[in-house]
Amino acid sequence: MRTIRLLVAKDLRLEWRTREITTTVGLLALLLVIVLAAVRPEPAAAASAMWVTYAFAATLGFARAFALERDHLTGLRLAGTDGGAVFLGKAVVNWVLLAVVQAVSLPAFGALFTEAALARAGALAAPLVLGGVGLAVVGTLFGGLIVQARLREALLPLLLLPVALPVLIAATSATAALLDGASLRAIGPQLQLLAAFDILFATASWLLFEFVLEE
Amino acid sequence: MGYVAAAYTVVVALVLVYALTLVARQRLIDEMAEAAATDEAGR
Amino acid sequence: MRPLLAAATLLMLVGIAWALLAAPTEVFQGLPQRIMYLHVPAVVTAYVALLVVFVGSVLFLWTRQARWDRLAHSAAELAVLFITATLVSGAIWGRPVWGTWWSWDARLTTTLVLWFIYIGYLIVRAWAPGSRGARAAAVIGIVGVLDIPLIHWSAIVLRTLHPQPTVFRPEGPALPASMLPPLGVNLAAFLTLFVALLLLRVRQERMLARLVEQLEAA
Repeated sequence: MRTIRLLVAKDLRLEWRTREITTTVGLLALLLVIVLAAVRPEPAAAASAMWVTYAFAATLGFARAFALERDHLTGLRLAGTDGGAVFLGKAVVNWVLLAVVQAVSLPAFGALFTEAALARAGALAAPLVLGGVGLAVVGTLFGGLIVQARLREALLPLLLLPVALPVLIAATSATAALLDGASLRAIGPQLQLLAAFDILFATASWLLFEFVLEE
Repeated sequence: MGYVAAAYTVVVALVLVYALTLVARQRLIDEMAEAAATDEAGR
Repeated sequence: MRPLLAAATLLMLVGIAWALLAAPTEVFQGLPQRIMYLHVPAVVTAYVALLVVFVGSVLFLWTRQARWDRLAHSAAELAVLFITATLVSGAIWGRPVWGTWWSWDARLTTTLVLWFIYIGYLIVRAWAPGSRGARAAAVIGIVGVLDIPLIHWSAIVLRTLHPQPTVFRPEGPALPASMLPPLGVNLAAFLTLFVALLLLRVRQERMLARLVEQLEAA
């Protein structure tokens, strides 16, 4: 537990100092919101625009997160920490990154698509957080896997998007319903799915990460 | 009729193409094996 | 290996002939319904292949024995082959009978997503260097199969909230008994073909691995 906290603190501190990832990814995400709004500014398009943007941010941001280790996971390995702890540490950091993007872009969605995005921000937290966790968990697992592969930046979306499709489908559906005025109870099924996905894949990734870290 | 023919042709074609790649790979491997064997013999 | 391949070919020929010529014609769909004799065996074989990938991947990570990786890799290639056959035959069947090449029904969505996941498996295997590639692919092999129920579930969620205009059911109503024998033969043909090709491919990989060892030792 302490190891995880240390790992998270180290990565977050590093990121805070340079702010490379958050700035680039954040700006690109905002750019995407604007492009999507320019193309089709209807309130009905808001939910899918939001999740396309978050998926985009995830595929960009998570590939870079392991680059912090400069293509070698040796440092982490030598530290002797168990794979599960490393995974949780990285996944938390990735989730924070995504959450920042979600928070920062919400006003943009509110201004360009529908005011409901801001009006219902509280309720929206449910699908945004649950979906964000899902993306972070799978993104961290795959990000670690392809650290040394060729064309790493292109591989991550190719791997992440199909596996995370249930997240995108359920989260978009829930978001759209909330923006339309539905209650949290009404989106129960989607939230259940998201929670099930998060638990299943967090557990699987936690168990499998040993193999990701090996040389 | 066209649809049925198309479907059957595509599926059979897929299997044949895969089989052909297996054959091509096998040929390559056999060549490598020969080269390795003659190498050994040469020593 | 050879007799198995010969048996598979024979079964395929018999199966296809039966499906095209002797099987009963379905009342509502007519001729295109015969595509079922390809489509259903293809999807069953695809899922069997995925199961083999899963088991191979788990065993590889657990024992680190290369032969499990070879099994998983070969099965993944065949899985992609049979998933492609499923998707294409399904689309061609759907067009004349249900008026659409595609629908976002749970089964189609799941099958399509699996195609991408296992293409990803093959690409990672090819692009990540050495044993990392095998291990990375094994992780994907495991995660992909674990995802199947979730993909299916999510597609159902999507459908109940956004109802489809057409109900897409590749099997149609429950099958009349007269269709079962040709279906059975084709199913046997596909599965035998899968096993024959799998064994051939695994053996090929084993030969390649030994050769590489030899060359490196020299």
